[in-house]
Amino acid sequence: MSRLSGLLRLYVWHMKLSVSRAMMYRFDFITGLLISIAVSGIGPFVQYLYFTHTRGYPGWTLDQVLLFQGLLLLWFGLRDLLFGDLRGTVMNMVWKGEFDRLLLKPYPPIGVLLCSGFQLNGIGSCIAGVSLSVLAYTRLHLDFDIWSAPLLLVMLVSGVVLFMGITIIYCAIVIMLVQMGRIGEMLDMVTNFGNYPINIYPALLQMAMVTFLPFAVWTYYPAQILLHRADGDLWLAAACCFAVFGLSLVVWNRCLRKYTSAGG
Amino acid sequence: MRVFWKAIHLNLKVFFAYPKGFLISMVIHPIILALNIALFTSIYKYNGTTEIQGYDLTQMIWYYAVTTFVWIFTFNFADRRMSNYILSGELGPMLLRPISVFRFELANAIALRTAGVLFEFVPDMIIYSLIYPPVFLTLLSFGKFLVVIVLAFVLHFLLKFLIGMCAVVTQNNAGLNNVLTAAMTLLGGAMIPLEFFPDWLKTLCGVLPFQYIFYKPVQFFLNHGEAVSTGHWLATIGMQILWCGVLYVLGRIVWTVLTRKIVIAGG
Repeated sequence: MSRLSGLLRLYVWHMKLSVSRAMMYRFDFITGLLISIAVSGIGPFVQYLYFTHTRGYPGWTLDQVLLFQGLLLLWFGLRDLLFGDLRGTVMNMVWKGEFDRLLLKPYPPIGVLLCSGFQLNGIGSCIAGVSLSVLAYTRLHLDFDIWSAPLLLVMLVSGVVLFMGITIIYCAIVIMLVQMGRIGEMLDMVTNFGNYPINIYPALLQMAMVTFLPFAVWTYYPAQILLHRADGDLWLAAACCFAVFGLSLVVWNRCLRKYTSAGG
Repeated sequence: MRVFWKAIHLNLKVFFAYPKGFLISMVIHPIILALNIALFTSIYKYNGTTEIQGYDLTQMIWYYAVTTFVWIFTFNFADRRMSNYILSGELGPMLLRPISVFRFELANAIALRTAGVLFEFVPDMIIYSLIYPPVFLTLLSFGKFLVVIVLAFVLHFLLKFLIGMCAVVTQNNAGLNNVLTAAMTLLGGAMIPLEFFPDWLKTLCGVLPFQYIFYKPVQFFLNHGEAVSTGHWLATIGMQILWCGVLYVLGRIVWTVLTRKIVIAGG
């Protein structure tokens, strides 16, 4: 427990450092913020183009998809805010041989790494996501059910846990391979399949997106909760997120035992 | 020129020292293709059509596969590397080297992409063709694609280098790089084929260089629409060369102006 509170303190310290760094390069931060808000519009715009040229996705209207896109942007923002800087940090550390220092610290190396991911730039996507979600929600004239709030919270926690698991696997690959090339991008391409409503996939893939790769917790289930059509599988998806996290820790510990150091 | 080739050789050695990263991509890319097949098969089925905006199912699946190929052929880190040079203070020693920063970065990008083409494109092309045969592909269209993609690489590099130079003013150029990436992927047709765009946006894309990095190479690979004609291929090459010239001259001017303002920090 004391380790966890220590790691949380470390995370807060990193947050402060990240904010100070962002203020140091103010021009880049402000342009980055404006840009990320503007760029956030691309996803919904592409969906709009798609819906106006085709019949769209089964079971989804344009406004419902815009709500989905808003929640997706909000998730992207939160993800970048909490862990956006992590990939670059771990790659630099391993490439330059600085990762070895973490092995001597009083906290688990993966804990220290996860605490170093805060990136203020994610706030732009959050702003865009909240705005689009509120707009789409209003257009849909939906009533907010009080029981939706705890369900959304469960999905948020599960989503963060799942993303931490995927990030830990990424870190494990980095310490094994040293030179990542475009692997990070490719992992993103796989996770990007969670950017679509899962009911448009064939049944087998839908099951995979709830169990083996439970990306559905990031946006699909939160959208379904707000649209009052979530099913019981969301609990299965939430449980699977924790399973993926546990598995990632096993993978990480195995890779760490084989770590031979690099750079210098 | 000897120094340039040495720089390519040096960078290639770095990439060949860590080949596992490229090998993993051979596992991940077919998964992405399989997911795309499932996604588009479902969409085409729901829409009850054999064509969407002139693309049949095979072409649409391959559209996104070839977009990945374009990234493999053209992607480079010139922008991020330039920013790192500025932030770490490494730019000072780099300016004293017997090779210019531009040529060194170009050598790095060529080495990076050579390794990428050998370890990613070639195996992917074989695996993808076995999983979902590209029935539209001919030897001629593939040849046209190869020529266009080389110029797309140069264009992509010049754009990234321009953004990289902005780091002299902004130090950290991540924000500007995000704009470039977003503009390239949206207006270049990497996110959605340009046929989906309204006319005004298509016109805008026509006067920007981004479609010559993604959309045009993809069209030649798919042997789709105007890309069938040799005249259109020659016109595309002409436009690519023109854009390369414009961006190169712009880059030289910006570099000349900015080198007078460089402040070396860090170290």
